[in-house]
Amino acid sequence: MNIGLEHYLIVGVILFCLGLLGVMIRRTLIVMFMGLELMLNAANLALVAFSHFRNNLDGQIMVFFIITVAAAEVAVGLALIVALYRKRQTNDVNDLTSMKL
Amino acid sequence: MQDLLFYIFSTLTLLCGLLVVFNPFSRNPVTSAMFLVLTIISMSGLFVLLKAFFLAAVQILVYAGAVIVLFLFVIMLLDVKEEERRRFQKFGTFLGFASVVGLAAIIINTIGQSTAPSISKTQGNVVQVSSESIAIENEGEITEFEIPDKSNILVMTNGIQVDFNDVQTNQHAFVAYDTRLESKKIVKTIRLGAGLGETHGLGKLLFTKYVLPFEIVSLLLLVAMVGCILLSKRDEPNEEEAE
Repeated sequence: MNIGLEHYLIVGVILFCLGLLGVMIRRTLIVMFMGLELMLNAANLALVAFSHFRNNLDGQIMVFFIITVAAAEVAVGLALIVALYRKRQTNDVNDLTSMKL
Repeated sequence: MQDLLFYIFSTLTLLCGLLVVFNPFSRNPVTSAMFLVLTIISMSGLFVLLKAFFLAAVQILVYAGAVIVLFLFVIMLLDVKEEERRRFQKFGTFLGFASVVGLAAIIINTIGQSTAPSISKTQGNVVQVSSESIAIENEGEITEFEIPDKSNILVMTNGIQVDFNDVQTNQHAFVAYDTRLESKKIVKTIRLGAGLGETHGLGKLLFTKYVLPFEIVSLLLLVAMVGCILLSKRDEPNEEEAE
């Protein structure tokens, strides 16, 4: 059987859902962050697949930018987590309730 | 061979992705980070299969090299312990599973229903050729395809039949037949978008069409750097105020 665009898209969708699952069921901030990375990577995979099967390089350029922005996002997010840990001594989202009504 | 590699790499990607978020043996964040490395590496294998060689290299360098090291640094800095199993999590976990499975089912169903024209599965007569697109008629239905490489298409005229099914190995080529001849004689094999996926084209595009986003991204990196320094700086009592 020939591997088509659909196969890659389905892998991307499943990977995206795994990342979403990680954000939803894990309670450690760092692991939730890893879930976010998985979701970004799933989007990258879909874009590269589109780029390959549509004969268009624009998708790969977009992935290039996404990787750059994700790297910046990780740096800022982890700095935020470190600052938060320094103030609260916790890494669990269940303890971060200061914005709760 | 490529099919087999696709199945190997996608299985590895999904398995390691599952172990990142849901590991029955350990809830240690370090284990999650290690499985994230494996996910990234097998995904770059998928990128190689899609002929995005530069992005595969960048994926390993940036993600497996820089991002994961940053994650591990922070995990060790914070001295994160294993996640405690709290009560009242069962309902939330079940709800999360249910909603995610529902979302996956909806999107996969949508992908299955879509019937986008695939250039590798089309067969028919050429009705119109312009410098940028080629229109192919099959049973009254006309589909248009973009052609990135314009130089090769000049040989095509009305009456020549193209058969995309003949090309199994290369997705970016099709074979044109002249129907006015008795035997099926190959007029020309046309490669669409020759050299696609090579770093050359990517760099050219990045510094011509996408030069403004490129500059904006450099600004974004500067902002992120300044933000990181500001955020991770220890709050020292201001000396001028203290005096």
